[in-house]
Amino acid sequence: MPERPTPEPTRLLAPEAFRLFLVEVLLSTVPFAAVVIALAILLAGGALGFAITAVAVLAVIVAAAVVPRLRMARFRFEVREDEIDLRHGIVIETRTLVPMVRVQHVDTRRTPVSRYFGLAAVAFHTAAGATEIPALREADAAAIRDRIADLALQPEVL
Amino acid sequence: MADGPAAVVPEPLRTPRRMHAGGILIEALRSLREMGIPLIIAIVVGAGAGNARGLLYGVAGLVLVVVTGLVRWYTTSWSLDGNALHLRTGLLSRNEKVIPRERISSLDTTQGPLQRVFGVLELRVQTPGGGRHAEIVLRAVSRRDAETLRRALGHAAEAAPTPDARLRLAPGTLLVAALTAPQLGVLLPIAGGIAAAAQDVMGNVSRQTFDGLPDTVGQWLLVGAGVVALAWLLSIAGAVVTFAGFEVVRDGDRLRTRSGLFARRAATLPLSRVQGVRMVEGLLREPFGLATLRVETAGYAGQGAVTQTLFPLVRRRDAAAVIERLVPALAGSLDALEPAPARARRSYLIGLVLLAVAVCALIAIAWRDAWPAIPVLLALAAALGELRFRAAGWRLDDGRVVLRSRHVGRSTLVASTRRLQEHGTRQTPLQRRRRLADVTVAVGSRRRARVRHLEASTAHRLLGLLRPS
Repeated sequence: MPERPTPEPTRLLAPEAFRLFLVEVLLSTVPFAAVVIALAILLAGGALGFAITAVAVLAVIVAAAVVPRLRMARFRFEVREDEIDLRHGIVIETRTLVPMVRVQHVDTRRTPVSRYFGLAAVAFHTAAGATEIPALREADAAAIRDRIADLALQPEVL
Repeated sequence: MADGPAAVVPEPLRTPRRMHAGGILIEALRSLREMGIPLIIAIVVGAGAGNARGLLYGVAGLVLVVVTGLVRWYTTSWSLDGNALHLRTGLLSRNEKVIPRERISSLDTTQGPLQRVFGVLELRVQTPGGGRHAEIVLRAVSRRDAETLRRALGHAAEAAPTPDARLRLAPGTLLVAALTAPQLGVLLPIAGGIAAAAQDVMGNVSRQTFDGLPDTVGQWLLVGAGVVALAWLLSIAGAVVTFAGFEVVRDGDRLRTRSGLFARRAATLPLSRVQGVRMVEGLLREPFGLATLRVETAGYAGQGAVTQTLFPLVRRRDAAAVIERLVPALAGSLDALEPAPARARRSYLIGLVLLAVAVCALIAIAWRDAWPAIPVLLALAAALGELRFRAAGWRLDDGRVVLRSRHVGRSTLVASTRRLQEHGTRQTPLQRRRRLADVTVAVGSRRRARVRHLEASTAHRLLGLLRPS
């Protein structure tokens, strides 16, 4: 098999993705922290309750400060003619190459939050499951979706 | 797919037709099962109560079931035209399902006990990406109709008189396969759990509190052993029923498997759907050099043990030869793998040992009496880590990749590099520091294989070598 160099993916997510990720982190941690704090104050109270509250608040702040920034910084992707190349992961770095001929369908996804920031995700599906590029400007997402759809539809036996 | 020109559809198939009349009863029983227990209770209680109202409920229930069966049978019809297979169902909302001919990946037939009574077949139509369930299931199709349909679609049922390869499971091998069935691995921990619970009960509950319950540890152990023996017998029986008469035939570009004692199951699998073959050496099989061969396919998952089984039991040293006969595209050695680097041994050990240490700490705090478990746990963790390290390996031939790894049993995947759904690498912070990385490939429907802790440079080279060229 011919060995050819594997270039690293270079494209970044949209700059607005930072705020989207921040909202997502807050949405997923704040309710949980609130429950923990409520329980701590109601059940433990006193110094222990205060300590738990402090830890929970600190955890939310640290997560909000670190996670969106790292997610942004670590995510790279590239859509080549014959494959999609992704690199991501805050703690565990995962690199995934998806051959274009394996893509069964591709769609863009918008949530109320992402729509507010004018962002969309591109999700593409193979028999092995779905993979997502999480936060692109809507126009970019549509362009990438159409490009993948075009490239993936090159006829070849599944 | 080269399934012949569209024009060869025999005339009778073009007009919508119903299932075999036996389908009325089969559908009725199915609706009985769906309506479930309340109805059965109503019927039984109704019949038992003896008074008129009870009897009425029972009769009404039976009538309902029979009518449902009749309606389902009456409203279900199918036909084939030049382009597609059509299925019409439903009384109130008429549904028509259309499956284009070229999307049909296989036609499978099963014959359960009921179908056998009427001499009919259950026909399942599979499509790629159809997911867990068959796209169309016709529960009572006469042999002739099934045959005509198959021929029209180019999925002839009976193998050619001289197939390219044929393998049968001998009765002796079936018995060994049943004895070493993987379920046993699940049973032993349950037995252990029962024994542990028994000790707990014996420690906390004063004797003879409950009459009729075993009241010594020995008796509890006996009960546990009995449960395990019973479950083992069931698992043996299950394996015998499933795999009795297992036969696999390669015939042109298709694999056909047949097996089953009571419900005879026949499945056809186009070789073009086979993305890989996995050799699984279970806990009980590995010591005897035995393994199971499974096929990895796309859009064909969840069809149960039989369709995923290429062959239920082979000798390890014969596995490569069997694969070569059945799936020639994947022919080649399963041995002489490139191992993980010697310095990775530590990485294989460390996670498991840390886990064991955590569990041991818990034992030391919460359950001091169990201290003898501590050295055992630590030894087991270290041994498993060592075995995982030794199992790990990869091999890349021209267009063919072999990945071997171990959870508990050992699993070796052979796949065609051109058929991979995706592949990649993975690196934890610890691995980054030690310049190690995992290699992952995905084949078939949501199945992955991963070899851990290779040299990062090797992993990166594999990443490139596995790319579509």
